[in-house]
Amino acid sequence: MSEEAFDYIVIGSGAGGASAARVLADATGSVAVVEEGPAVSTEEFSDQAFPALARLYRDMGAQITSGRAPMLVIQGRCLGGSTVVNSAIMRRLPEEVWNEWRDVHRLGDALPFSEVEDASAAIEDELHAVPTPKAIWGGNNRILSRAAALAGIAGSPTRRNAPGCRGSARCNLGCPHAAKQSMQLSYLPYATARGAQVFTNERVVRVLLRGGRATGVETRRRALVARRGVLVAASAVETPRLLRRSGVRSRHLGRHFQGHPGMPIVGFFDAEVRLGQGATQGYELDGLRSEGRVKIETLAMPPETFFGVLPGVGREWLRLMSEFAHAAVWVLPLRSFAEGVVGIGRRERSIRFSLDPRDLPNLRRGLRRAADLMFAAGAREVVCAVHGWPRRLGPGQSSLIDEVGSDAAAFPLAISHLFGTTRMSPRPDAGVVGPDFRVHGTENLYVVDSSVFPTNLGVNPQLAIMALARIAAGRIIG
Amino acid sequence: MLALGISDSGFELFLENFNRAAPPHLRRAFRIGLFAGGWIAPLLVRRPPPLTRLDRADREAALAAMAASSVPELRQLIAVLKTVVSLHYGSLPAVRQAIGYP
Repeated sequence: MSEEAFDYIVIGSGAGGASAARVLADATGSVAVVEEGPAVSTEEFSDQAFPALARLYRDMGAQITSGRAPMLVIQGRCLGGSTVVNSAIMRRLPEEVWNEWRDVHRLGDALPFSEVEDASAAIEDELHAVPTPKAIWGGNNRILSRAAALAGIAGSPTRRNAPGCRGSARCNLGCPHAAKQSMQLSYLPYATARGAQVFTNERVVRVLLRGGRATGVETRRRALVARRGVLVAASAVETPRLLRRSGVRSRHLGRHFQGHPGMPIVGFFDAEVRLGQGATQGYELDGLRSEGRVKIETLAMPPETFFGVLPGVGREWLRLMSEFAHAAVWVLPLRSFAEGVVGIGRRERSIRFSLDPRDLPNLRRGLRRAADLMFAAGAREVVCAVHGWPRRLGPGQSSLIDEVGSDAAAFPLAISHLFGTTRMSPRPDAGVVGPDFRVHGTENLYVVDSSVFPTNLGVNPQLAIMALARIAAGRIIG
Repeated sequence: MLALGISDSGFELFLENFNRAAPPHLRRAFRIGLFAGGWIAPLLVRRPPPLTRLDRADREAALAAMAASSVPELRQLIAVLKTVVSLHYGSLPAVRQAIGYP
């Protein structure tokens, strides 16, 4: 087994790991970034869902929670992590969420909001985050914009880090034009140009801990020595598992798993929408977030995914498929109250998560509002694959959503933003890492991904993850 | 309207790839879904299984009944079947052309 030494080893190459590596590489070129998944070049990105899911996503995007109402858990697994397959959305950490962290989770001023804002601004600048230009909105985004204006709800073009985006609606399969500034095209090349070394297809089995000091990492093929520290950014699912395998003990490890469960709603219009053209997620409504903890955003998708979210079988299913060109698809990510558990140790394959009773009314209200907006914008038919609901809604029928009983198992939900499983707290009895991002009880083992977030955010998290990782790395190098 | 059915569209080859690439739990869920669709769905519309011996109308009725079942597990299995079939069907050039996908 080969053995190489670095000042710092970063585990994971997504938003957290790559952002930390960028800062560390500026201070010392002696940085290793270890990624479990493969490096996939832009030329290799496919316009078909199956090869993309197989190559770029963990478990083909089909990790699943246990319980009566299973949900898909969606994560990237490749060089660049989920930044390769997300929609390039750059939202800052909401101040009300930060207030909650400060007051309820007692972070106090350990993580000053001004510092988070400064880091976010710098990243936005480096990654060219701007509101989605109208020229690449396409029909789906235009319809949501029009509906928001008609209903008087606050909406805006989504801020994305995709300069040169051509609106090919393929963000989630990997950007075919290298426009999206995902980590394998931005921060990782920056770090490697300064001496950092990237290892792909290397699953870290454990961090080597001796007397509370991280001395390196072990993969199946090699051992890497860390002279100064190890930073873990393996995601809210994998980070607690890795820490446990490495000997870290905390009753909070793997617990407090939070996310943004969401589901699509589809509207059919007489005019062509052309879902395959336009920015994948170029417009969003924030107006319902403070009251209903739900956001409405557009989501373009390839035919494979579109077919899969439609209700019905046989000829009814085919009829809806045939109307692809006339369909608008929006999604409703919910800031759920629920906390789940990511299995660690002998339960490594399990993720337990169930909606909180307070979540369903918010989700139903959001779906009703989305249906109303679609009809206001001219939809002739709205479909939503919720069991027990009318298969098709026509104009004036969206109130039926309120009248039909439902339970969590009726909703086909997927979770795509994951948090909380090594949550941050100044007290070792209340969290896994301290406000200095160091795992309690260790000298130089850090966590720099969204698993340290004490709660979910209600907005897309990649910028907040990058900002916190940047702050963390800056503090680590001193 | 798109053509009904996926026979003669290369689905068998797709399944070989799927069985190579998909995680074990997804492959297992697909196999169980096939079993449930073939042998349980017909019973939901009071027809003798297997599904393959029924005419088209009865097959659709049986699968529709499974999709609308009050048993969440049966609905989830239909969702798995639809997801896997969609991964193949939605990638076919003829289908993409027919629905106007670029």
